[in-house]
Amino acid sequence: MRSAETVNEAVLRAEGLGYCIRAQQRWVFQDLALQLRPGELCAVLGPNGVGKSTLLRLLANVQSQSAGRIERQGRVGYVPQAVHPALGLSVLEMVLLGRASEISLFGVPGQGDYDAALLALERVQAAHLAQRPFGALSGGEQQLVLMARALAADADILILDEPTAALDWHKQSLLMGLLGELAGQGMTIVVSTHAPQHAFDFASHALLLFDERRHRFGPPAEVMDEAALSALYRLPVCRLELPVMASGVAAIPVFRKSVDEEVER
Amino acid sequence: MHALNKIAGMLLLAGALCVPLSAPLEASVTLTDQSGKTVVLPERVERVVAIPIPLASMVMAIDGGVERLSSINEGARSDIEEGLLGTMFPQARTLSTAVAGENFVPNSEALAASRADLVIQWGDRGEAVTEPIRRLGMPVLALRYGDSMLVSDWLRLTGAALGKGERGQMLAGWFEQGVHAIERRSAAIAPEQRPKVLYLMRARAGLQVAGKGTSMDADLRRAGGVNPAAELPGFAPVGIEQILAWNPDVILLNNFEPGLSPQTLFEDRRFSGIAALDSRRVYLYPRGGFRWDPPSQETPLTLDWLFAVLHPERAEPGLRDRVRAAYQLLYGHELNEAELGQLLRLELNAAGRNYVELFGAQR
Amino acid sequence: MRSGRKVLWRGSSGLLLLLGLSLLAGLVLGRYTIPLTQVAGILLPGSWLGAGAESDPVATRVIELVRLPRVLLAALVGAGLAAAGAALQSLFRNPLAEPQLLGVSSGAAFGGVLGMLLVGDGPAVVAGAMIWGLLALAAVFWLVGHQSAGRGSAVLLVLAGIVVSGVFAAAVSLLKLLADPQNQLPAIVFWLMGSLANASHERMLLVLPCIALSLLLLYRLRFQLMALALGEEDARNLGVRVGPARWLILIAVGLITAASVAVCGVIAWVGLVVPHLVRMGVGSDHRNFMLNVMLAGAAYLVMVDTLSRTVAEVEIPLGVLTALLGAPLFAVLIRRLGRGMEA
Repeated sequence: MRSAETVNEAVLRAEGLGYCIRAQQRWVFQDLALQLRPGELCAVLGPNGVGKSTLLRLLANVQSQSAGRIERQGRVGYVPQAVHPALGLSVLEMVLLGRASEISLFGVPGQGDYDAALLALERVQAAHLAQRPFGALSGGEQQLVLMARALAADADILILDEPTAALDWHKQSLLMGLLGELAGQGMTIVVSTHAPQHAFDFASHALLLFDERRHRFGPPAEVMDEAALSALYRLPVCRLELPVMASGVAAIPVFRKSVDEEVER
Repeated sequence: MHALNKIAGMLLLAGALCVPLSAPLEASVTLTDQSGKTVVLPERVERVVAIPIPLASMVMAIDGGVERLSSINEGARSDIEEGLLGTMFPQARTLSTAVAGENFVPNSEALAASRADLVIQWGDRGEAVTEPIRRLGMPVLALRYGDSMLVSDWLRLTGAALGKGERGQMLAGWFEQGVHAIERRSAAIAPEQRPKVLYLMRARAGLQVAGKGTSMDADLRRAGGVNPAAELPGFAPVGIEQILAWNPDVILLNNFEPGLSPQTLFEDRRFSGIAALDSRRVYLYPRGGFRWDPPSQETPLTLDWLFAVLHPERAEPGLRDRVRAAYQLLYGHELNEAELGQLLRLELNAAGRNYVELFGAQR
Repeated sequence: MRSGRKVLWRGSSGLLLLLGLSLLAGLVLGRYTIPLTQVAGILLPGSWLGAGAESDPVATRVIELVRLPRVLLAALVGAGLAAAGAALQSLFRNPLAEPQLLGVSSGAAFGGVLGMLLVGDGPAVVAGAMIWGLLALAAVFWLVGHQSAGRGSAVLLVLAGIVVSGVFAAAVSLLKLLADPQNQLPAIVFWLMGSLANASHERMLLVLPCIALSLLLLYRLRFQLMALALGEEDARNLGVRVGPARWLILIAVGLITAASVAVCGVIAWVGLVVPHLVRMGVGSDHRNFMLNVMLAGAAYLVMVDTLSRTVAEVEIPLGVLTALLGAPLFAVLIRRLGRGMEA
């Protein structure tokens, strides 16, 4: 369907990707494919344990895949769910650590590194936190700082593991909006989330992981229909058209157990 | 004499084997040891385990041989191998050291195997060192450590226990007489004429001086010296600066650290400036059948030597002859010139002031 | 950040001043009384400070041969132990890490005793202490595993340290049993107890290259040390060369521990107490934290050693004093740390 031109433009491309837990001889997922161009934001959705985090770690090259291949063009910044520094670090120091790949074994950050770190903090609107101890920040602020850290590393591709997990709705919207802005500036972003709304409102692509073999990749409006979402969360999910919203689409789960069986079919 | 003893012993042993073990021996010796306990011994003791280090040489001195010693302290081995004890009693080289363990705790298995009928042990090191012996039903002769004067009773008790009460008594008398003679001579010395004397228990592995409660402290006072470290408890670690501040007139070196000699101090620039080094009054204690620094049957000689070292102008000439006579008395051994020189450390102490004049061979 | 720079270096200058004062106190104080003017005259011959003081050759020797090497060695070892503690705390991501706690000192003690038994006092002790200290450290690292990011890692670390310390402590006891009780044992016991009493220029020069090089290494690695506090995986993702950095740090820590054990026995608590004191007193900014720890460690050990040789005629063993001062100090730290966590 896609033209050869768009394929060439992809900065993050995975084909036939699979991960097997060797000790248990169990495939977490298999034969997974995706490709993203600059400026595209992909939301990864799926139930717990389906391998979202693992997939992100493979894409970020934190872990290596069991099968398939990944092509990355540019620098990848990985933002873990949480970081627990053993000793007290200030926010600025945490962001400076993003510059580690630029600093030699015996080196220390120079003025350029400080400038980059402060700029990165400004980009996530957290410059005011610079001198605060990282450990004393709220979960949402820590996520912003970790994003700044990835930005300070001059990342072209940002991979975030459930950054909104611990945030209230307002903070979620701010953070996702920020990701959307960064994508608007040409970054490629992969973010895992449990909120389909994030995909509808901010993502150009969605990757749905149903189970080991079944996955779906494409624009949210196309791939996230009621049937797919219901199968994904094993709950009846209704898709509503909302004229007031930016994307105009909302997914509403029905949590009442009595209707569970109907959808199972 | 020995052979006769042996035969008598064997007869007695044979007799003892005929009676049931539970029955108390009819003929027995009863003593009160230095811990105040009553000790019941067979009339004829055959196998002696001597756990305190000085008791190895003392039993040899009293008994005139090693035949009745079945085990001694590992620490006494250097007296045999490096001191003169092995020269005087060649068979001592083969003595077992299996019973006395670390910190004088007896090894019960080895003790049981020794079938000792007399175990000499320290009586002031807690029940842990005596209890394992009593548990085996073996008689313990407990001795106290500390002031040199305790030794005269070691001689009496050990003599009595070995069935040589008379010899023990005689040696104790000789011991007391010798000590008192020195005490009398130093009593006449005015306080301002008493030199400051420091005994270094350690000079290579750190610095340790002898303070309150040590035999060296008491000995050097008996011999007319003043111990600047007298207020410190026991063997106390000190810094070089403290020694510089004391500025002793005489420094006495221990016999325990291998390779230690006055030369060690003369070569150490930190020590220079101390009065004792300026006047070359640094001496290594002599060593014969036993080290002369801790208390033993040789202590009267130690005091005689010490008095001469501290007060050379008042020294009674002829220490060499007195040592020779004492060795004849104690060990039945005639010291030759070479042995005497080795004993008095003539070579190592040669640089010490007055040393050769005082103790060297007459030309 | 720019405004903070002045404040930042204020802490370091304060510590430098403290070190200077403690060195001065160490040179002036002692059981052998030397007036201040005379000390000045000896240290700065020809200066107006020393003018008028009568010259005492013993005083000169005390200053030059006793106090000077001793305070310098104390400063060197103190800086080393404190920096080693701080480095291990980053590396193991654990505020309780310390060379002594990790069994490195026990390993070094074993190696030193082995060297003393097989070859004799001197370079063999230093070499033995170093090799076995490093082996002990490697053993702890292997036991804990490098993925020490989990919650249980603090417990694991302490357990691994207990295991390694235990094995080497037993091995040392065994060696002591094998040693000649009259000739070798006293020297071994004295060495194990830990003291700076035998400090001399020779001993200082023996360990100076080792410790100074390691200090330089740790100082230059200060950014890597901060990065390693994140945990291995996170640091690696950020592009930190975890492997080389970790090995260099371990080698530096092993060299420092072994060298200090070799010259003055096992001195505990310095590596634990000093970094925490610095964190609380002057902060933990990575730019000068390592430097501050070194300055504070040097000042701390010089002060404690001066105390150990001046308060009484008897010289109090250094290890006893560092533990006696360090443990209660650390107890206070634990209480404050606990309160900080609740807040």
